[in-house]
Amino acid sequence: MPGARRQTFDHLSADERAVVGVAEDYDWAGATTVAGSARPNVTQFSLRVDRELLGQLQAIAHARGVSVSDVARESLERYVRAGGRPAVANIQVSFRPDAGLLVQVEGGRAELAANRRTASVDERVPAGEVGPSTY
Amino acid sequence: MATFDDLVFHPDFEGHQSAAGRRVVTVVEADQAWYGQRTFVRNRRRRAGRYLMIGRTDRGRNITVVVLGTANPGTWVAYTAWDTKPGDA
Repeated sequence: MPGARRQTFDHLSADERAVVGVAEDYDWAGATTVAGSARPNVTQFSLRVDRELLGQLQAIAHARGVSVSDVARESLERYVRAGGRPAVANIQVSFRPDAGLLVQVEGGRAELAANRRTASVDERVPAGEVGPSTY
Repeated sequence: MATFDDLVFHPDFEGHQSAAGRRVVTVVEADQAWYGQRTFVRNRRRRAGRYLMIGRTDRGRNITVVVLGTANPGTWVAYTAWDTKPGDA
């Protein structure tokens, strides 16, 4: 048993050692080498999430008739495409609650900023002169 | 001889390593090694860690990955990893 090999196992945490064991446990003489293979363009990993989040993913998946994996994958893709920033897909802003006006702005932060002037105009509309109560 | 088709990653694959204070072998690096030429060393004891997978990343980092068995033959779970030292392989 080479000393370096035993030394490697000395650096395992106690939790790891309970799973991995020690160098002497392994059949080093019977090691098998496997040739490389084509690497697929997909890989798989598991994710630990809150039960509440899993429940929400399941509800969305059920409503859309897709799998939880599909919803999780799509969420990750959107997050990555947004450069790791929280992408706001749907912002709901209420103005002049006394007038019952509800403005719903679709899009991200930049789009919301672009819509600010419109929102300001809406705010200046006197109560009672607003047409439809909801847009 | 077991078959080694698919590798999936334990949620704390990298966390196990950092908790032990080692330089982390990333999920991407372990995935690279899995599809290159690699050597499997069987654990003779009945532990969750069934095999050591010793391989090399695209950048030439020699790593050892501990893989656990699953209910699906051929599919393995990467549990933790470390840098392979000379004499390990």
